[in-house]
Amino acid sequence: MKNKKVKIKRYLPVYFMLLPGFLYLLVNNYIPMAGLIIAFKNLDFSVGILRSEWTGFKNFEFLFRTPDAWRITRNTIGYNTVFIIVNLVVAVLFAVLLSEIHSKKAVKTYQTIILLPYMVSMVIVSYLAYAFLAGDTGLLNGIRHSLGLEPVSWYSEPKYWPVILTLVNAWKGVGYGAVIYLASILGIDRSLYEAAAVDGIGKMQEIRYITLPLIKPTVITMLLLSIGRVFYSDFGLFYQVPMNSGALIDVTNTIDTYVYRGLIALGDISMSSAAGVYQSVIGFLLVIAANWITNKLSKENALF
Amino acid sequence: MKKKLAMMLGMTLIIGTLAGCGSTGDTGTAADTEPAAEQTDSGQGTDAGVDAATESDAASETDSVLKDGNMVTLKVVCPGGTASPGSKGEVEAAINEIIAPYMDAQIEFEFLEWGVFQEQKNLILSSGEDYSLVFTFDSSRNYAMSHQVLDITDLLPVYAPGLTEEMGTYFDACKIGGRLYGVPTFHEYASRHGITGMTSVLNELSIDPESIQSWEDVDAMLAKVHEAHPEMNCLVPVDTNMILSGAWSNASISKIIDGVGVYAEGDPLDVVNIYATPEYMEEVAKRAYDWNQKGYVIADASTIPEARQELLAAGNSFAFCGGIHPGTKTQEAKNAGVDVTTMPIDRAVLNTSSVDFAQYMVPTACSTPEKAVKLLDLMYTDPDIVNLISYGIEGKDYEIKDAERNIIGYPEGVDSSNVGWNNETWLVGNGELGYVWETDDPDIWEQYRELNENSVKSCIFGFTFDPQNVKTQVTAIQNVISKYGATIGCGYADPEESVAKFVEELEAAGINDVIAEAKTQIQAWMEENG
Repeated sequence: MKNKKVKIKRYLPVYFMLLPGFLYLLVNNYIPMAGLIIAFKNLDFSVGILRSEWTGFKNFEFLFRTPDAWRITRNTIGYNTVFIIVNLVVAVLFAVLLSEIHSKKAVKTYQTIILLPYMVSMVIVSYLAYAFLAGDTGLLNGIRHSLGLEPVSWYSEPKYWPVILTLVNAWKGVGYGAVIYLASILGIDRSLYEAAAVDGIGKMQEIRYITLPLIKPTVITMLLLSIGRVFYSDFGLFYQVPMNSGALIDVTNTIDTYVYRGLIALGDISMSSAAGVYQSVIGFLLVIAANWITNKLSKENALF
Repeated sequence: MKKKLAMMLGMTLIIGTLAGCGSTGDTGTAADTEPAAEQTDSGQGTDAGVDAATESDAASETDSVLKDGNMVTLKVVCPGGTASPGSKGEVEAAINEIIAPYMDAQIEFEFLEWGVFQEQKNLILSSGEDYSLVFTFDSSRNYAMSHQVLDITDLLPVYAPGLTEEMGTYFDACKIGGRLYGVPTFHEYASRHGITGMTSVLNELSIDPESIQSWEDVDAMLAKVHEAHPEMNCLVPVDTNMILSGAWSNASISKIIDGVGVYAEGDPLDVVNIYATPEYMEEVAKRAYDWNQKGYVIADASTIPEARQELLAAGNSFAFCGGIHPGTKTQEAKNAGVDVTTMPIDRAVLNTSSVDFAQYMVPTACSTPEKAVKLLDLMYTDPDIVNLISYGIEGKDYEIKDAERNIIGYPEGVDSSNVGWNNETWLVGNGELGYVWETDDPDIWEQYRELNENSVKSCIFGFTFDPQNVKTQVTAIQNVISKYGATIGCGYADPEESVAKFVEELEAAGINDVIAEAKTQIQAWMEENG
């Protein structure tokens, strides 16, 4: 008992440092959760949220009772799955390559360059993409023209877009992952590599037997976090980058863009909240499931 | 290792939460419950006040409310080209001087840039903050239904008698369930669809704009321009990214909600799927396809991010099809600095939506709705206020060019790029009371009035649709329209094939439910209004 008291006293300053972060999370992330009830109500501003009429699951209907329900769910999950895999592989690859560079200055430069797109707003990205894809002035059609090929109307050809979106997303997101994995690689005890060098193993084996296994926990953590968001889609990526082109809707409509397009005229807060609740509940369940599987496979890597 | 992992985790969590800020922000409305609830109480208080006012001496009664010694700031939210026009302080001070004798209040403008207006306005309306007047250009319907704005039906005759007298005839279009939640601004309500082209090109090819009277004439004119200037984009899309958007619907079909409408002069109960009508096929799908095939349409018309003004100002484009009213010429000149000529084709139809889209509303959270309504009254009856809100400060932002005919223009050295105040007259309560800009006809307001009074009145003028029961279908329909609307409207799809698919998907999305619901509501509306 006494021991515990001493411990608390000893760590009090540390707990104190925790306070601002805790308060921030409480105010910004936990208290607003009470607003979830909006999704189950017909919001009436004159009586306020609490006294608005309950409507049960009526606000959720629009997400399921539509011919598009299957397509938007497929697109959301499909793209996210591809994004997670591609970004993971490319980010780890970049991190490993960066860790092999010895010049500190060069590493910093490369790191900054690949991280930069992550900081750029999607709206700007959409214009960068437009510079490549525009029908008459775009770079790609310019190249095609000089090669004597017919120009392609990129914004009305759905078949190219799964690839374009994956590329844009990777270009934008890889830097962030690479920086995190690089930090993890730099944390690996150098003596392991020295011992391996003494044993005379090659570079590829070094990466395979030392680097990759040791960053596995970080990879799994990042993976679990992104699985929680597979039901969300990056609105900017799916709406701005294809320039809201109707011809592409079959391959670019996701849950978020569907909700936006549908509710822009109705402006119904309860229905948009319902979509948010649906996405977070599914995301929550997926994280629990993924963590449960991790627990079964390798207990020490699970989040909780 | 565990420690490192914990640190990593902490880091990603923190970054994650920071990134999450944006998305959690909108649930913050939970905090508004209280002010909103309070507001209902004070709202009832006003009703009682109104009753008392009509019983006893009305004038002194309103005076006691308006001149209660409590100096309030009336915040007015409007869209504008810039959030902080140079003359804002001076205009506010000048208006304050005018309103001082009427009430204890001061005005404060909050201009939201066009691009962010809708979003910010919605935040303002759901924030529970004390704003007095909020402008809308997508009708008051949605805001009234969620009670984000006040029912001002009873306040208007008491605190805004001048406004009621001036605008009363148009109130009908804005009523929702017989009540008013906002007042329309006076402007050209009807507009005629047609084509607006660069004057320079017309002059060069000596095309007489008067001779363009039908869509066939337009076709011939485009052919002539295309032949003379094959490198030029004959047609650019309007804001909705369509080269032909509402032409057909304005001329013959009154829209009820996206995709559903009735023939303006037909049977109000004959509700149709707009996209299944022969008019859509002939006047939009086929014509757009034909023009696109002939090479008149700018590349990527359905996705082009630039606005029509920018495209015209860039110099390699000729025209766009869209709504035309007597002020279009000046509007385009002020917005983009280009000299255009308008060639209206279709006749004008007066629809509910052409009146009720632009309104001033009093938010539920307004602490002094009486003063807000009085301010509205002055905005519709006081010429000085109208001129201040329309044109800014005399001598600085404009100067009188012809005192006799009330014509004004930019002073020496001032133009649209450096003026301290630039407003569009349809945003200003009753612009008719103010001066006339030099590029407009001196009798522009008479022309507006004539246009409004002479246009064909839709058979459902005054009817407002309540989508409450068919929200699921409306959401799905919106998505189908975003898939096909611009593609067909810009002529990128074979008309027969794509329109058939379009209609099929609309039916799968439940458009027939919306049609049935509209019929029921129109039936009820007709019984109510005789």
